[in-house]
Amino acid sequence: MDLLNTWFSYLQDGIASGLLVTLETMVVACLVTVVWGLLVNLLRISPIKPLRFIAIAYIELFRGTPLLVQMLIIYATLPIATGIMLPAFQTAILTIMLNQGTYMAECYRSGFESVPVGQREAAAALGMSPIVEFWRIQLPLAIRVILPAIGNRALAMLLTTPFVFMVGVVEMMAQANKILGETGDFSVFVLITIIYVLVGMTLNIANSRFERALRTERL
Amino acid sequence: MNPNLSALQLALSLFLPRLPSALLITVEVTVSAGAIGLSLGLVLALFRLSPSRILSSAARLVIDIVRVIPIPPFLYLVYFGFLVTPTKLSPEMAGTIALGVLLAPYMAELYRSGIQSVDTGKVEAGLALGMSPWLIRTRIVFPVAIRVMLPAIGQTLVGTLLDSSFVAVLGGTDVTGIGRRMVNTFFATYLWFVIAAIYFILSFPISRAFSYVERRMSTYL
Repeated sequence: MDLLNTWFSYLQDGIASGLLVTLETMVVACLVTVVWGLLVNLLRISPIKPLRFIAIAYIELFRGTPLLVQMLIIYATLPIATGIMLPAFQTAILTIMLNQGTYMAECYRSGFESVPVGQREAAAALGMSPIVEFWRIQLPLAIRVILPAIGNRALAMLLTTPFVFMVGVVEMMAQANKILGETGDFSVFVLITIIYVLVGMTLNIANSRFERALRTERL
Repeated sequence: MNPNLSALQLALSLFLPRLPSALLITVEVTVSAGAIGLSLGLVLALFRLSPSRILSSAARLVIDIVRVIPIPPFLYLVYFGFLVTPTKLSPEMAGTIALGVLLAPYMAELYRSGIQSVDTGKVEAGLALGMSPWLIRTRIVFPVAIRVMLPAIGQTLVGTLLDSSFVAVLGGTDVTGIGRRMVNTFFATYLWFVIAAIYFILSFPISRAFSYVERRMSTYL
């Protein structure tokens, strides 16, 4: 079909390399956000009040403002404010990390809250030090809730990666824009939508398989 | 004087008069997209909960597919797709349609979780008492389901409010749209903080209100 031929040529013209950048962005953003989310969660439940306040303020701020605006702010003001000149990719990753880290923290929170209090009390009664208790009791039980939640979050983060074209990362959206400018053909956006759906569905299926595997182990 | 500050003042003087109409556009897009999402989502949910295997699986497929579509490609698709038709869409209209359609699967899943959270024992009791399906739906299912759904729907709608900012990229006249033009014309980068603050002032009370409602309702469940 003629459409498929056009799409194939678009793929060669830049969509394929855009896809690589998209996947790159997603993987790096996920890894960074997973770590950052844990830090945010630790801050949020910290017994030190000022730290907790900072964490909550940060969470509310970054959830109450659009990702697009956050990206443009950080891209425009980070060099001026701190003198750090980050390339576009790193800026985009940083913004996604800050934005999605607030949601990732919720994954960890729900995980740790799912550990029955009785287990912690029993550990204390047995004289376990807090670190041992965390490592041997809380972590294994919580991780069964945390990992699927992180998987779902990663899928949601796939939806945030197209926004990075606004700060200059040449991923699929930017490539599609270029092709639109050259040919005036909007079907390129149909193509990248299909590609995003394929990537997303793969992640979705992987997530469900993973969740099912965790569940059967528990029984 | 810091040149950026005076640029900011200049940009503000032109930004603030246009703000009310821009706010109206933002709210319009959000509410309309929410309405579309809620209605389409309801239809999807009804198919998903249908006893027919075919309809239910078809609905599940549609939900799984549309849920994974990001906003930017779909918005561009809608906008540029309609440009070649006789009915050209404005960026705001395209945004409303795109956001509404992408919202539907999330709403469908919320409807489904709300309806399924109803205790089947109570439904069976209603049937045993001879209640009509209409009575069961309005008196038993709806009150319980709405309590479960409302907080999550609120959260999602706040997300739509923030996502509506993306129509600015296509030249929309919402808050981000006119703000972006001001920033680009006057190099007033600090205006972005004002724009962010505006969204925060819009979204924070709403999400606070919904968590307050959630807390109040959860004591009665």
